[in-house]
Amino acid sequence: MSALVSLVRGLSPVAGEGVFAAEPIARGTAVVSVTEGRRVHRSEYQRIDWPNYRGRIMQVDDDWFLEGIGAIEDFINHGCDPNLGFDAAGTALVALRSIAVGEELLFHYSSCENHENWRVPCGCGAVQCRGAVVGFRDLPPDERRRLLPICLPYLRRLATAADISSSSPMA
Amino acid sequence: MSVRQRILLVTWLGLMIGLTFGLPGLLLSRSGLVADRQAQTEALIKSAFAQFELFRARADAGGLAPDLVQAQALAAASSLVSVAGGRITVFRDGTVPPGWKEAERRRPTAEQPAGTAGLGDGGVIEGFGGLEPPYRVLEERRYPPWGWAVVASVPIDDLDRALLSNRVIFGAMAVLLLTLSFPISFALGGALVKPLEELHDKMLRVADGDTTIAIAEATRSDEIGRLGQAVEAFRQTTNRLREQDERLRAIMRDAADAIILVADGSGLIEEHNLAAQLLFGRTRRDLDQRHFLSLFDGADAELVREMLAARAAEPTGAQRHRTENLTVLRLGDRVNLSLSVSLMDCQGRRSFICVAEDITFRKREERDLALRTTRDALTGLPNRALIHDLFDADMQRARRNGARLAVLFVDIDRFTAIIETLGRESADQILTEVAARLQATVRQADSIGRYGEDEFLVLLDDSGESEDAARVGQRVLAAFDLPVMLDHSHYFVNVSIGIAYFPDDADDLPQLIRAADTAHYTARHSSGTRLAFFRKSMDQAARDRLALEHDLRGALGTDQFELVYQPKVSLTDSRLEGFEALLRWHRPGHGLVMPADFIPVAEETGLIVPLGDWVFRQACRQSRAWIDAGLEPVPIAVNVSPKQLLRRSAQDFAAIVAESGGRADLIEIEITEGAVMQNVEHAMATLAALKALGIKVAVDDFGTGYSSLSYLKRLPISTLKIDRSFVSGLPGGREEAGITATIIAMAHLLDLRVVAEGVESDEQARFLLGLNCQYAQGYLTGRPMPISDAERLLRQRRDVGSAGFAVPRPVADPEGS
Repeated sequence: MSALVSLVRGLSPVAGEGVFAAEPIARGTAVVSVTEGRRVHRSEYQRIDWPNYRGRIMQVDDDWFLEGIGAIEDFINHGCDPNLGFDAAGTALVALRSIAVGEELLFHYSSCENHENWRVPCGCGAVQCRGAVVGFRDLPPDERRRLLPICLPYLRRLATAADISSSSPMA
Repeated sequence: MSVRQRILLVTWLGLMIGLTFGLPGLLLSRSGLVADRQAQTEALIKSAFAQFELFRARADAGGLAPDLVQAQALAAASSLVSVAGGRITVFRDGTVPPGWKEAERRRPTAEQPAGTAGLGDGGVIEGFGGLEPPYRVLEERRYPPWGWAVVASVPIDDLDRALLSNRVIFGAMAVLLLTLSFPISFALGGALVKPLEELHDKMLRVADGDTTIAIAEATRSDEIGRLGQAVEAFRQTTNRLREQDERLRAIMRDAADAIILVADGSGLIEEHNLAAQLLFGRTRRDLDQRHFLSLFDGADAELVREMLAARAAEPTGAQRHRTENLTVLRLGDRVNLSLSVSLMDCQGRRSFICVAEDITFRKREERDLALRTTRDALTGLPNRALIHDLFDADMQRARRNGARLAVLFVDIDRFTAIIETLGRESADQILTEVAARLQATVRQADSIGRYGEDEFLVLLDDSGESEDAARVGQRVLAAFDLPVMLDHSHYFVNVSIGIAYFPDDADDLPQLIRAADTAHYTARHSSGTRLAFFRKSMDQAARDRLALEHDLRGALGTDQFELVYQPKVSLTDSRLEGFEALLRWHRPGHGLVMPADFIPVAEETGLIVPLGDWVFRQACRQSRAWIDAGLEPVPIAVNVSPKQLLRRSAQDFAAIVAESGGRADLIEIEITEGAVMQNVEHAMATLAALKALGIKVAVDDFGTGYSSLSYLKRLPISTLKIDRSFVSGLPGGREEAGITATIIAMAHLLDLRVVAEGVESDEQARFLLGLNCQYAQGYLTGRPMPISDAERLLRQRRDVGSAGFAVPRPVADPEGS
């Protein structure tokens, strides 16, 4: 991930540190590129020693993960009502609405993560906040449908395939 | 500048340009990055102010204590970190202490407490002190609502460290490149230029004729390989061309004809072969670059120049031009040349291909052939064919101009006898001499030719007066006053000349020559001058003679000939002593022809020989017949002509005697003195052989010829016959009587019988008897008679004992008459 606009890092009202816009961002502007960083396979991911791991890592495909390059955009927090979402190609996070200077940048972690039985507590305080973040597969169908336009392509493929084959939510 | 040098130069130039623009580039990028950091200060301040506004709004909405709100805002602002690790410092009293900013600018990143930098500080070089301040960029702003001074501080020393680090690497690279540039360019040049240079060398060798070298580069798959393939193709083509060239050179070298290439325009010899050197008798160097025309002289050079010019005016494929009329001097010898010229256009350069051949030998052959066909080989005079051509031309000219021509027909007398007596070689010498004397005699304008074996023709041009031709004829005759010198003897040649005129005597050449021939015939047979002009009457005589000859030829082998017999009688006892066989010809349409009318023609034509044989055979047969008839045989005398004596040997006569069953002792041959004189040796031998066979020989017409006593003594003869010309003058003529008496006395002296011919009267008989001449022949004792009468005489002689001739006794003393 690398920043495409001017950003600063600071203490977040949501949790710990977060990333803030240092310049006004128009809707639709690509804010962070998600093409840079080391791609890590699931086999390596599963061997990560989490207590000593200093980096940040996100899922980008069924078996592939992208390790952060150590820039401040790695600190972007989850938000249940995010102002950033993945573009159609899954190469960048774009502004979903106009963002003012000093506004914290947030994206929905379920729009990329698909771990089974993964659950992280959330205190974003948004109206839609359900108090926790889970893998895409574990979202309720309407929530999945809401996220579908802004999630990574591999999840859209999965969701579409699941919707066609079965009306039941993904197990 | 070589490619190798260029590669070196380009490498160096590239390095220099890289170095020249690399450093400023680095500095420029630094300034860009510094500007970016400056922007981050702005971003930090904006973010801080946004937080302040957020907290102030919250304070206004929520009614929190301003101090608490300001504390939270301060904490939030202090937590802000820019991308490059810049931070916010807030001075709540609204003033930045003096010197703080300067100190802040000089504070290197490394001094930051660990962990605060958060990101991007992994690249800090520990103990790195080479950098000059400032290490940070600052931006100060006042936040009026609370009266705070806010300063954003973003580090830039990391940039300079990276730049410095890059600079070190750059410098090291530059040094490395500079150091390596020469070997690199050398290696590069070597890899690229060396094969090129090798190909270049090989190409030069191929061009130099070494077409067997291998082009190994052709197997490579790169551009050098393609160049190598091109060189290989060049080598193969060169090889092929060289082969072709060698073949053509070999053909040219070994060609029997001289081949010379001459440049069109300059006329210089470009190439030539060995045959050309030999043909012109010049060395290679002498021919090289010489003007082709300079090989020829005068008119020939002009002829060749015209040939070349004419050939140059035509297109290259056209017919070649050829001449055979050139001569050159080769080492002093004249050489006939044929020259053919064709034109060659080679890549726009035009040359003449001149092929020359030595045709000297052929020309000589042609000339000889022309001479042989038109000239008489022996005398070199025009032959019959050329005479016709020459005379025809003269006659046509004379006809046009209304002029006269005279033809002299010159014939050597008795030429057949010359051949027979002197031999062919001497005869040829005589012919040559005659030709030479004729040529010396006539004028230049007159034509001479050898017309027949011993016949020459002279054509006198525009002979207006008869006297002119006569004068020439006389000169010709006079030319033979002196004898012809032969190898071991000399010989007096007689010629006779007939002259005829065009157009007076004949209108065309054959007639003219025949007329001259006729006139010559007359001249030869006339006793006086040996020159005669043609007259019409001669023509008739000649025609008669021709008819006679024709009939005579046809008469042989038929029964047109007959022998009659004239008795020879003894003057002492009137007994029949023998017969002389005489020839008669019953010519159809002409009646009886006497020997005097046809024997000369037979002599001339050679018919006399078979005719003489017939007479001799007939006489032998008659003698046999009389013996068989029981009659007492008497000798029969047969006349043998000089020609027959020459042509026939004693064996021939003996064979005829044997074949006809006759007796040799009853055959007598009569010859003239001249017959012996023509070839004394042969005659002597023949006569001696005949005498040995028993055949007697009489000399006819004695006294009219040489009458050489010495010959007479040597001749193996038995009888002398006194010519009728002497007898007819008896007894009255003193001279005749004296000669007759002498002959008779001489005959007795030599122990020969004497027969008087032409005895017609008693007086003559008595007179002859008185001179002691034993035998007589003539009208007195009997005319020539047919066989029946002769047989009657023989029978009377047998029965009576004498022939019954009334031969008187001598009445006068010959001494006294």
